[in-house]
Amino acid sequence: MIRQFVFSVVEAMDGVKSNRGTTLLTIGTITVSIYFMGFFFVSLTNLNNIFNSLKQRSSLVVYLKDNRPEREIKDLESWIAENKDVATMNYISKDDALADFKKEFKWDESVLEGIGHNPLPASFVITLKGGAKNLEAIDGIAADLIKFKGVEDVEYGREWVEQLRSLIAIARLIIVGVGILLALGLLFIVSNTISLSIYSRLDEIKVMKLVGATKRFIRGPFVVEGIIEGIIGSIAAMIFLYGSYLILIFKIPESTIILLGLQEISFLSRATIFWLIASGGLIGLIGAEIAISKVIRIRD
Amino acid sequence: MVNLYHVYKRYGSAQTLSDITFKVDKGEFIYITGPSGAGKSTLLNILFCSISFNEGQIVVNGKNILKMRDSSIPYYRRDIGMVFQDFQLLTHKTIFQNIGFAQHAVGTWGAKAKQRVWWKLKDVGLTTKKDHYPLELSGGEQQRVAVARALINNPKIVMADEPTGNLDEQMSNQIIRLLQKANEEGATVLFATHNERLIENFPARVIRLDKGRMVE
Ligand SMILES: Nc1ncnc2c1ncn2[C@@H]1O[C@H](COP(=O)(O)OP(=O)(O)OP(=O)(O)O)[C@@H](O)[C@H]1O
Ligand SMILES: [Mg+2]
Repeated sequence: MIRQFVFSVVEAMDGVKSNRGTTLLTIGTITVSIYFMGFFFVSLTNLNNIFNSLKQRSSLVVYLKDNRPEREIKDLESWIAENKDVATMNYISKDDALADFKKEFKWDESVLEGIGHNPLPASFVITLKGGAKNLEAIDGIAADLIKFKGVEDVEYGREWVEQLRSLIAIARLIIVGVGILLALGLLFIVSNTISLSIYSRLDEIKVMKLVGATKRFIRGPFVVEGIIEGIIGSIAAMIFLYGSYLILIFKIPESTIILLGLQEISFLSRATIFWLIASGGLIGLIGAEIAISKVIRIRD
Repeated sequence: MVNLYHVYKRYGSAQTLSDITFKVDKGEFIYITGPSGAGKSTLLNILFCSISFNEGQIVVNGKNILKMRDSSIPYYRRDIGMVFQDFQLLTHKTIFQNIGFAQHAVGTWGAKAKQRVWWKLKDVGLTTKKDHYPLELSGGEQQRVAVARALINNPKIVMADEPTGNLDEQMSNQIIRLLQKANEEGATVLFATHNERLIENFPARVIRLDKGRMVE
């Protein structure tokens, strides 16, 4: 058993050596394809993280009209406070808003000069329980709020969240579609390479059949060859992907990451890395099996 | 050991074998002879399960080869040693490796395999050439390697298809003596040849084919 395995590996290495160019090309193609798959997975992981953080942070901002009676604001405040979906509520007066604005744009006081009065509205900032998991609830609350007399406008991140959600759904579809196409392409390429390897050793195969070698024994070297190509290709892809990732996080400014609500740009999880490499090996295995079933018949 | 009942083989419309019926007992040595194109190779290849046939029944070594599953064929073949006119040695492996390869292919490895290769090389008188490559040997020597390979797993049946076709008389005699020795040790031998002189010098039962029919 072990001897047979060693034999298969040694013969597979012979096969690799005798078809060096084709083998390298095949491994390269596997590397590029798995790299792209990995890239998609990294993007998806980070989109998901952005989505989750936006959900956490999603809040409603209720802008109030200027110069309305105190009572209207009080009514509104108590309505919000009593709503069961509301987690926190924060009143920002016109003066607060101006102060915030000035703080943010302290490098350019001139922005407000020339306008005699404070143009910024007062507002309530509301966050909801459980983030925005319940998108319907946000819609309902926003619709109720806009009906209040003193309310100028209600702003919330629903569109953002929804768009991101559909972006993620599309990304998933793309990954599945591209994954299937790439897998089929790779199967085709690997099986052709292994076919070459088989053809270059038809004499040995003939002798093996002559002396009564089983099909399992005959295919051993080719299966090993396919798996080696798949695994080397996908490990190389992971190395390149990690390199690109390091360059990327070096290039993206921290402020962008914070803006996206992320702690960091994530790489693939260990499980995903494992599965990508395993799927490279699996493609090698299936590709080899296809070639073998096309070329090697026991009854001849 | 080998039983054929009304076997027919066609290639398209060409009738290559017609109504072949014969029986070879265990331990027999028979010649299959006839002019070129008579169907000798076709017959041996059918017996080896390398090609199919159209009608009839064949039982070899107790096995009905029509009913045999693909997965059983390798094991069936381990009981049959094959020798061809063109030797079919692996030119990139040494003599020793060529015979050893036949051992590995059926799962014998290590010292045991080496020892058996060594003994067979001794039987065919080629121990001194063990590290040579096939193309460095004469035709007769190459054929002796092929015989050693065919006999290495102690087959019950040996089939030789024109094994002396490329050899001069002296070398041919060496080959046939090796096969006779295997026969004395218990193997059933089917020897296809159109060399009538050989049959005269080493007489045995003859099955004669002509245009795919048995004439003797
Ligand atoms: N694959 C094939 N397709 C079509 N016809 C074939 C095929 N193989 C053999 N034949 C035909 O079958 C007949 C018998 O061929 P076979 O090789 O068995 O003869 P043989 O007795 O071994 O001849 P030789 O002494 O020349 O080796 C021939 O007429 C040959 O042309
Ligand atoms: Mg012939």
